Amino acid sequence: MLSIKNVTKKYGKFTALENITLNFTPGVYGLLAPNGAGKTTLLKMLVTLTFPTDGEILWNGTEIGKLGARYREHLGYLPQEMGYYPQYTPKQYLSYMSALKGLDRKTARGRIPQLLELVGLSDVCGKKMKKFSGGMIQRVGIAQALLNDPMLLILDEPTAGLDPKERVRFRNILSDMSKDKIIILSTHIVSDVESIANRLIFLKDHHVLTEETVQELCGRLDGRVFEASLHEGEIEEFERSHTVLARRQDGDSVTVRFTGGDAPTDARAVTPTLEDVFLLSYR
Amino acid sequence: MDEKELIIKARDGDGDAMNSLICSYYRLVFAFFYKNTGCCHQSKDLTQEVFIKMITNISKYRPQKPFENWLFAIASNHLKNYYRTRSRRPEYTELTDEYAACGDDIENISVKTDLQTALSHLPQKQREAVILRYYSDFSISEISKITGASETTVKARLRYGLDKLKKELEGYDE
Amino acid sequence: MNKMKNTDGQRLFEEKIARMLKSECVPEIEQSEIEATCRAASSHYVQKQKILDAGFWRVVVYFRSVGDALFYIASTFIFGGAVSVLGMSTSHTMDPTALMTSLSPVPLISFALHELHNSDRSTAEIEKTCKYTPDRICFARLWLCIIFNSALVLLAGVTLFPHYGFVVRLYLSSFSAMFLVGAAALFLMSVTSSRLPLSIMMLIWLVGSGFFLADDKHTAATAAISTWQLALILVFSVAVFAAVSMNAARRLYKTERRAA
Repeated sequence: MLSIKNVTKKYGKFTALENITLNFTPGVYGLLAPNGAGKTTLLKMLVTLTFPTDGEILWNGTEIGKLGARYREHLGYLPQEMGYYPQYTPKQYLSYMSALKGLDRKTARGRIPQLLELVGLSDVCGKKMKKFSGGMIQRVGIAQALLNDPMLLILDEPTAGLDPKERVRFRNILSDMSKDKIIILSTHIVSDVESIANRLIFLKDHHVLTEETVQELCGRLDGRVFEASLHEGEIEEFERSHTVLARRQDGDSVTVRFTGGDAPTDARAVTPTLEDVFLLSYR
Repeated sequence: MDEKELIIKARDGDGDAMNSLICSYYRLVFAFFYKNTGCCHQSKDLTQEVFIKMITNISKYRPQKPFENWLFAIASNHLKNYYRTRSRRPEYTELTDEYAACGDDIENISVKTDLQTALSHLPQKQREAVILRYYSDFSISEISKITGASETTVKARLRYGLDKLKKELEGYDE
Repeated sequence: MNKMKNTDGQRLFEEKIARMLKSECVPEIEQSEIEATCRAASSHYVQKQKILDAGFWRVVVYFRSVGDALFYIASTFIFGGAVSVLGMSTSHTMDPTALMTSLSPVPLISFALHELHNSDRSTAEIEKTCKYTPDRICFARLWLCIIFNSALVLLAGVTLFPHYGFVVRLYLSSFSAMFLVGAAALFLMSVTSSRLPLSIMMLIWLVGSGFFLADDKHTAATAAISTWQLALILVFSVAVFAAVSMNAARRLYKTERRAA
């Protein structure tokens, strides 16, 4: 339904993204990359905030720039920095946003309480947003993105500012609606997407590094990730011959998670996680 | 709101009107596919695809013709394409004129009725004609427009289809 | 006889087939299945763009805060009040044409100031991805403001100077100032993020034009401009305004244009 065909984005001489080709069908897609890799640029092109220098983005076969408002009707977007009107209550804000999204009053009146309930803000729906914490503002943002029941939901770092309980709630919301929506989630928090993403897209050096399922990605490292206990003094030497993915203090010793090189005799093989793949890809 | 108004609104892109049309006709279209293919799961997919086609082509609908006939013409064409696609796939060659293998739907593992069995033995076009005539209650002329075949061809398909059904169900020739 | 029997037999068999087909159960379809189909199909809805889209105009006239409503009330009072006070003062020496020319752009400049204040960039990012984008809304509001401003000027002229002998010149001059100064205000609105330049511009225009046009020597000089020349100036002003206004809203919200 959504196709990105050979898209390149340049800002003057700087190339933000080059020759990106991706196809999306209903499901959850995790867009993983470190900062500066082009995640936000890609998402901005998908929501028509900016346009490709080359290539095209198609919605059901038609270029999204040409569709304009007819494409944006099916869109829900949550940017990294959620702008809002401090004097508004969440109810007023969602009411205003529903008008901008072209919802009629009756539909909006029905949806707003449901969405506030969904994001756990029903009890503060009448309070001004200037009194809200960052996490609460973010939840209002998620609610506004869902107002028009979009076919395409684009979320840029949506769990920033959410506590663990809120993150789980958010993952459950997305999981429930992924059957008939395309959800593209950009994050650098691997655990946000590990359990709910159908496919993961890794961006590196302004290109698509890979686009696979979690199982396929982790499967590549099967039997190649180990953990071993070392003393502090041994770590530097160890790092010279192995790729250390993570370290954990365990009393007097340090447990290292690593790949590559010869495994020490007391090392045990562990199941590779998405975090391992991520760390290895962006070493 | 009457159907004509709904259709006009749907042509203008009114989402609610489109949804109302889909709700009104879903079960009819699904039943058409189910009677033809015998497979619930496949019929649901085909039905959804037909409504997507309906929406993308709604600007081509001429209000002078009954909407139901136009919709069934899309369904008939879609069924034809479905059979054609399946016949191209080697793993389905032996099933071209058979009901689709449904696999996981529990309701399709139940014993087929005599009629279902008899229908499954008919060639696709005869089966479709019989279902359009005796289940969906379209006239010969309407079936001709829906399927794109001449009235003579439709009559012939019905005659041969009924003859075969009679042989199987009543076990004798006339 | 046999033929009739055959036909009857055929008809009975047809009825039997119809009965059998209709009596056999078709699997029940849950409402959720139908709704899922509606949702899948909805991504293919292509709505025609309507000029008289009620939803769009509802947003255009929507007041985001009390300040929005106050803007229109304040503009009316500032303009109407100033014109009334100065126009009806028995001790004034200011020519009505000069007075109206000086004050006519006030609502437009106020609009520019107000839009600039409201174009909070952080909220604009989400709003630009909605069906009705802020630059489209601003553009529509601009033209409503033109109508509002024009109505104020016409009303003031008719009610305050009903017997003025040079009413055509009054309107030609007032509207020219409205469009020209309005264009300048829109341009400033779209290129700066601060309200200061606009505020300074308003002050300079009001004070400067007031003093300039209050001076009898200058009034005599402007009276020498023929009505036809004033009409040409008006046409030019409208053209400049149209050219500036086309892009002002888009520039204000930094909306990128799609490459053709």
